[in-house]
Amino acid sequence: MIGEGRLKEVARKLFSLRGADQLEVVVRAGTLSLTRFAVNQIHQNVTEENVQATVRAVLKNRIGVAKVNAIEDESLKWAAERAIDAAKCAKENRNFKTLPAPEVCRSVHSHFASIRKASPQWRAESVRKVVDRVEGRGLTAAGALSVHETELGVFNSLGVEAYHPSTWIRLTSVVSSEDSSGYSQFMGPDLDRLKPIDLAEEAIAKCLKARHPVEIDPGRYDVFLEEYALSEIFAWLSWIGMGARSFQEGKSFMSDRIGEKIMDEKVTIWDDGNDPQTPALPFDFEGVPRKKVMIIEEGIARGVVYDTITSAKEGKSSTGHALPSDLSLVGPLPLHLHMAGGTESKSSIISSIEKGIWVTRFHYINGLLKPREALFTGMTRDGTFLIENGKSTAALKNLRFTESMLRAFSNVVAVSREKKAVGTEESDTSVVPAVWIKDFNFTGKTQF
Amino acid sequence: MKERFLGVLDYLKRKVDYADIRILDESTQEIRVKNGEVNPVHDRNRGYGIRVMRKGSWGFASSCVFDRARVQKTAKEAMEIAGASATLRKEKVEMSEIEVAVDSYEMPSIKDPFEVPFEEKVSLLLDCDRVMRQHRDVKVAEGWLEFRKTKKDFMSTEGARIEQLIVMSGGGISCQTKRGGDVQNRSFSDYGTRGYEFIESMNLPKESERLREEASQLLVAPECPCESSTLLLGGSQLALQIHESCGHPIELDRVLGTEAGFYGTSFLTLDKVGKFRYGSEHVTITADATLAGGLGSFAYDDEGVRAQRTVIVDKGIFKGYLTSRETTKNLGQRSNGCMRASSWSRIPLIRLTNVNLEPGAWPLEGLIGDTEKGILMDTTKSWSIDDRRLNFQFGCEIAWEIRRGKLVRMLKNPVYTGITPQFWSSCDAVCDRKHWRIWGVPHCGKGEPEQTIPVGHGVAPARFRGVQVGVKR
Repeated sequence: MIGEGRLKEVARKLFSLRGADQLEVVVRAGTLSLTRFAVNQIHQNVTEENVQATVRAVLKNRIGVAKVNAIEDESLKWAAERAIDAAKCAKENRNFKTLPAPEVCRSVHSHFASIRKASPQWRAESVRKVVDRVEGRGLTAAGALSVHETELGVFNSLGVEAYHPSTWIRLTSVVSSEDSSGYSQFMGPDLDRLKPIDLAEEAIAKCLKARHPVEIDPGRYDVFLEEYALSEIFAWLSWIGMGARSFQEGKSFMSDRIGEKIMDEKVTIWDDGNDPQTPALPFDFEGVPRKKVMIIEEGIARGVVYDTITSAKEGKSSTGHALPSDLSLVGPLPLHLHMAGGTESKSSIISSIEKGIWVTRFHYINGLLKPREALFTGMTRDGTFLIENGKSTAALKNLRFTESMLRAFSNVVAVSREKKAVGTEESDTSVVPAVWIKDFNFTGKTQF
Repeated sequence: MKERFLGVLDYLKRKVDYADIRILDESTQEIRVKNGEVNPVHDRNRGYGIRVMRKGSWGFASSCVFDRARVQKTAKEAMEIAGASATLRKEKVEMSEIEVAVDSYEMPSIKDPFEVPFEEKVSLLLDCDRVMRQHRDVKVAEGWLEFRKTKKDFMSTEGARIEQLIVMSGGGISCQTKRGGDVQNRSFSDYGTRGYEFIESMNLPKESERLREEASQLLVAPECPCESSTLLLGGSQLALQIHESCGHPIELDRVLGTEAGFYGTSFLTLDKVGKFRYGSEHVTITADATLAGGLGSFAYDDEGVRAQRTVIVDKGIFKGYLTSRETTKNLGQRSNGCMRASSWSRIPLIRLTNVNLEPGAWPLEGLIGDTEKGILMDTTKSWSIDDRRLNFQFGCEIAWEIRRGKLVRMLKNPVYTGITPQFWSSCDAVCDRKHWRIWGVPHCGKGEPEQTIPVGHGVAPARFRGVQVGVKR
């Protein structure tokens, strides 16, 4: 860890350079260690130490950016000079007014000392606990255990000095038999909460339940989406429509629909970067405190998330959702989505479904077919089942869906009270329930 | 500084079964313009990765800190990690033999993109932006240029000493129109291991005019029907089709299960080599890292294996995989040089190089003229395929209906779907070399931590019979 004091010192020294009206430096540093396993053995085991400094230079309202993976004086000076040169070539940006002024950020505890235990031996031993369980049942395990220790500092010449250290652990397992597979995932900031054997058992149970799958014709079915499946849909909803760029460009499913009912009233979705169930980050990559933003409230479109440039365009304030400045044309995105839970348990919901399809998770979703309709396609994976008269009666071969998420979320019958934090490595995480949706459109099938 | 690493390599030679070190120094320039808003980014990225095989297991450690003590510490971390891997390793890793190379290579380019004034590049994109926004239907115009210069040093305990300098240039333009609730998009992009001359050859301002008109016309075009149809695919879409349905399933590490926990496995299992009918007799697919200008071209892979051309599918019959030294040892083969890492901080994996559909004999005009009824689709809009690479569904930006050998009208929101070997078996014609072009795909994803890597696909337009187009809703 470099530490807050050292990063402040580096930033202050950078701001003494001449040539820009305003300067910003974002430093992201840390280690990532990852142990990958497949066919019941470790096949890839890596560690990485890196630091990334991104300098944004402002000349009136022209902006240039330069990145370098070092923080010694010479490297940062190089980056500042390149950023200033780039800004001189850029056109004036009418929507840019100024870098943000300092604001007080919430303090979120997301750096856990337990990370010190995460040696290569500890990682191998944790993976062994999964593999031993799986192998003992005559099955095959694959997956990855990753351990992050990261510090993020955002500093600008107007006095922003935001710093946040964090830890993050994630273990995924795909357990396979000859004709089936199951999945489980843990993620969180404290490795003491990792229970490899429990995760192995979850994936084993799903894999065994999914044995001897039968084919079913595509068509419209009621569907029970587990949290893993819903989280993958949320990642695409965030990307295509919950940020101000796509909203202002008119291609978001939220564009021109604020205040309208676009989903069922059982659907409430918000973003909260301060919740430690996700990789909490109390400020964005401009140093603006992350606000809790209501996106869909009881089915009604309420708003999207903003950074300084997109908020200025609408005369609003940033909600604290800026991405790193080299991605400013992508625009702000919600990276910590939540959906409100319901009142029923998952088992109670399943018992109410007369005929439907139970989906553990999706594979390779794509949400670019018609972003205005949130028309998505994707495949089921790692456990798909037929539900008849409230019971799971058969494992199914995998299916392709092609469906508008506006239509699907307007057809929500029930939402589970249980919720789970699910996500990819460090972004696109969400805390979601399981849902029952009626008339979900399955459009194709595969051979396994 | 290289002496520092050679010293560590000498140390490792005494301690481990095998080790290699990659040192990378990358410079990148990326300029994006969206509706007149300019976002220019410079990037300099340096670091090294040390891979060791100890007790028959792999360990890898990497760092961006170059002082002697840190280099030594990184080497020891790699050894410790390999030791931990060995506690859960049933079969010891072994590697097939190679010809150990001592070489220096610089990829040829005519015009160094880093010597072209920054202002000139910004000006080119602003010109495209202006041209695309001349139509009132155009709500978003976007253009981008990206240049990367990678200096890579590779050294191994076997004695390999390889220096490579690779230059990449690429870019594109995109034009979004909107009327009422309908949003349409047209785009054009390409990348290659060439200098700035590659950008000049793309003629982006002229393409901007075409995209602007097509994006506007799409707003009033009818929807692509839902039916079984003869399908013609243009080059840029066929590149994606090969990428997803041939490129990924032929990665031998995926076939052996090492991606099962993330991206999935492959339907092209080992028993299929030499006898499985992957496609029709018109389908011959090669992997060729030696193609001049291909985005997946290089001189040596990240294990020091020389770049090669390999036949993957020969007249429809599946012949073999993309391989590495580790995966070929048990097969009694040698690596065909496909181990690539996306950066100094990532371990090499089997990756696509330039995976190509070899040209046929048809001129494009002749192929359209020979089609009584069908649909021509081009430019990828959406892509999805199952985790064994069988069921796919791809959407394109644009299509044209073909009637009696002529393109009669534009269609919007085209989608087609199929099962990989059935789809390739329905191929009855491929266009000739005149229409063959290597398309650069800059962000191919694989692995954990995820690695995105540039790859290429040489293709000419081709025809497929009895394909399901459109989606029942």
